Amino acid sequence: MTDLFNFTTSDLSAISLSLKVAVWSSVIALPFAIAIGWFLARTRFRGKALLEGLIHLPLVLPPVVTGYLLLIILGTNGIIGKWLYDLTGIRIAFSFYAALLASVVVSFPLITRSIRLAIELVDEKYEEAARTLGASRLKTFLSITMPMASPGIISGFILGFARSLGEFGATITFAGNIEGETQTLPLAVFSYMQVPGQDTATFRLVMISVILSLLAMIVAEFLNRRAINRSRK
Amino acid sequence: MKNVIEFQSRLSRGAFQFDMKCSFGEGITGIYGPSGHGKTTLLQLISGLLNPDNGRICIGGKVVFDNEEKINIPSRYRKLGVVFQEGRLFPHLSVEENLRYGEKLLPKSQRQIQFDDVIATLEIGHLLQKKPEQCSGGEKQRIAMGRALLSSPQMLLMDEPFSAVDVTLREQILIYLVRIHRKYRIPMLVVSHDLPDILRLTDEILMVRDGYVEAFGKYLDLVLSRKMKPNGSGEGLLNVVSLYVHEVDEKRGITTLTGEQGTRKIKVHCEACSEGVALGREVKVSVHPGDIAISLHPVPDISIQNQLEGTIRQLLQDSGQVVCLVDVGFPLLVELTKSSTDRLGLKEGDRVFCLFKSMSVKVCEID
Repeated sequence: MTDLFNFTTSDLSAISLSLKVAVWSSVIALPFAIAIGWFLARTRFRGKALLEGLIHLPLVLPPVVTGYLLLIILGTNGIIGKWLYDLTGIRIAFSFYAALLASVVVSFPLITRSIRLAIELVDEKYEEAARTLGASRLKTFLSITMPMASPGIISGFILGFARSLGEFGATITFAGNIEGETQTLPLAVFSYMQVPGQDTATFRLVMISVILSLLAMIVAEFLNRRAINRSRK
Repeated sequence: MKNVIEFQSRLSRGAFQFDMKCSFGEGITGIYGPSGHGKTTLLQLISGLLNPDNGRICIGGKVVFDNEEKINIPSRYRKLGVVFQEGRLFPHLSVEENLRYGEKLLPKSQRQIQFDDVIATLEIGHLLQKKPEQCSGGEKQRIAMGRALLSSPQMLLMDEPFSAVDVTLREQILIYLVRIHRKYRIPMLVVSHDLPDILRLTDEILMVRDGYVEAFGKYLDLVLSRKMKPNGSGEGLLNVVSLYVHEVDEKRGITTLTGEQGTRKIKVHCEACSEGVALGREVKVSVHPGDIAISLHPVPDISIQNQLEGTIRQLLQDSGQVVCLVDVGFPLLVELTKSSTDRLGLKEGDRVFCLFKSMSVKVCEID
């Protein structure tokens, strides 16, 4: 029973890796998601459906397929990856950055969807009023649109974070299962399950996974409430 | 007098065709017409929230839109204060932050209107820390006016400022509008589908119908040239006159008003006037043409106190109705039936008496 709380170094590295990847991928994806979310919500152009489709692709594709596609494009022998490797010697696949990229790609559509919806729900009439008062489009966006859409932006961020914590298929395909470098929590659980007699170890990690996810949801709810209250009071 | 706005635009949106050419001067201009006929579109085109298909718009001597010269100055540079029908106060900001929003975007040197002045004039100082949703409809409207004013605009555009407010508060809004116009000398465009509300502010009217300008000019001219017709329920006509307080009889609740020369006396029954109102103070009163009766002689034994003597200047016949313009020292429109006109044998140049009860006189005080 005491084994349950005996965290090994590989356990700890899996946990810290998962957290690092989740935080960084959400932080990196957020500004792009805000920009694209605003773009999709507020502009009209030919081929918009195509762009929407492309962005939502990782949402519907099996994560392993997403990982495979990433490999084809950015792997060392990939379309872009080969050119990048020849030019700079940089190898993306099977590294921490691959795990990061995989997370960004799969969580991006979720964050974007949430932000786009939140922006669509902001009545353009307020933006018009701001413009007549002398605000530039950027000022209008920062002072009116974003604050009014903030509950949706926060939800999007947390959703992306949670998705990233649970990312498996794309990570293992594109980043591999390298302990200490790309073996995030889900990958570690999977690996431990393959080895007989590692039930306690497995359960240890499962426990942490559940706690992290619960915490993420609680923080999300708290931030959401606070944003809603601030816009009401 | 130079025009503040020179406007000419065409716009096509499916079944709605918009084609207007007009200009607006320094005072208050009313834009009147039925709902959905292009009044709001006109404001949106002037303010830059909408772009015409083609046309030319000049504001304050500067061209802000000209499709041939490819000029299209965005809203934020047009220096126009827009007060929207629904107020559109930013819900996530406090009242004070709302008010200062436009002001903050101006460099200090361009801020011509003072914050403390505005909140005093509009009486909204006690609302500053509240959120818009905690304010009443009338308060929100005043805050919206204050917000537009504080951006130091060269003209105020008001879209249906009375419709979001109930009847009792309309008088209030009116008073504030007049106060603002007098204090800051800002030209105003007021859009409304309610003629009496407009007439209490101004007699310069742009009539809009089906996306084009039906007529433009002073109210009386429009009535007499038949461009402005009374509709079935007698709503198209109203007399609005500026008079001065001559005498207040508080015991009897009667206030006597006179015209400028002090010759014409109208007796007005109104409580609002009686409360310590200063002599010589200007008030605007309105009387419905349908509430006025014509008599060939003065009628002594009758309760009607107002019996103004005057000359019929014009008679307009329109199916069963007759509209008379009587000069009693100021022009008065009287609505009569054709049968009564014939029975009395009324014609232009006749000396008659206009009778109306003091109770039919509505007062709109200007402070």
